[in-house]
Amino acid sequence: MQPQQAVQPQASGPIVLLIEDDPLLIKMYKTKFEAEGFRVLTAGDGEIGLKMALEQKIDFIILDVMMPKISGLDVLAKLKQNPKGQAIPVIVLSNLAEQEKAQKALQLGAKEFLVKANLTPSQVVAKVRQYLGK
Amino acid sequence: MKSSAVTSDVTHDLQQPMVAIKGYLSMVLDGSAGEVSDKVKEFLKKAYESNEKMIEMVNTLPSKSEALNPKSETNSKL
Repeated sequence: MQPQQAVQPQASGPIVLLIEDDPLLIKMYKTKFEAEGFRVLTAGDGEIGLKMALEQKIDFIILDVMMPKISGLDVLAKLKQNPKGQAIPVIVLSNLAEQEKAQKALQLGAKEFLVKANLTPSQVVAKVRQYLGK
Repeated sequence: MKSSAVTSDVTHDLQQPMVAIKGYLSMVLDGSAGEVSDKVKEFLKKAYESNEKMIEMVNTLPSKSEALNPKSETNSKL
């Protein structure tokens, strides 16, 4: 299966940009978020994700860490340096519970640094709702 | 590449499919995929719990690797 690069949202609701390089996880989170009434944009790597975040109206970003081209933390740094992207809330979703990366993500402006294996898709949706106040 | 980096990569790569298993099983169990019988739920819960144990085991890999190779450069080039 090839990584999903960019998919347009279909319904109404807050727009979540999912930047993640694993096609299976993209499909999983996308399915859950859409079932919960969100619109979902997806990007299969950091470069495309950053471009989409700066060019489109995004309400929330779910950001993976280890990705091709640009890492999640580099995407976060560039996003927060850009006036178009700095206000978008971001949750960093990593496979590894790395203290150093978690601290870096929070310093760069992420709302939270979460470990994928600790959360179900429902719990990730609940986190996003919490920050969006919806 | 340092052994710690190799362990980190291996842990990451093992976690990815386990996260997918956890996520999809949870979605079946929470009804996202439609209604399933109690028997199916019971079996899926066992699969979910086994996967959680696997996740816990994989999470210990970095610390186990560190214990075996404490900051040693002799084992750092794989």
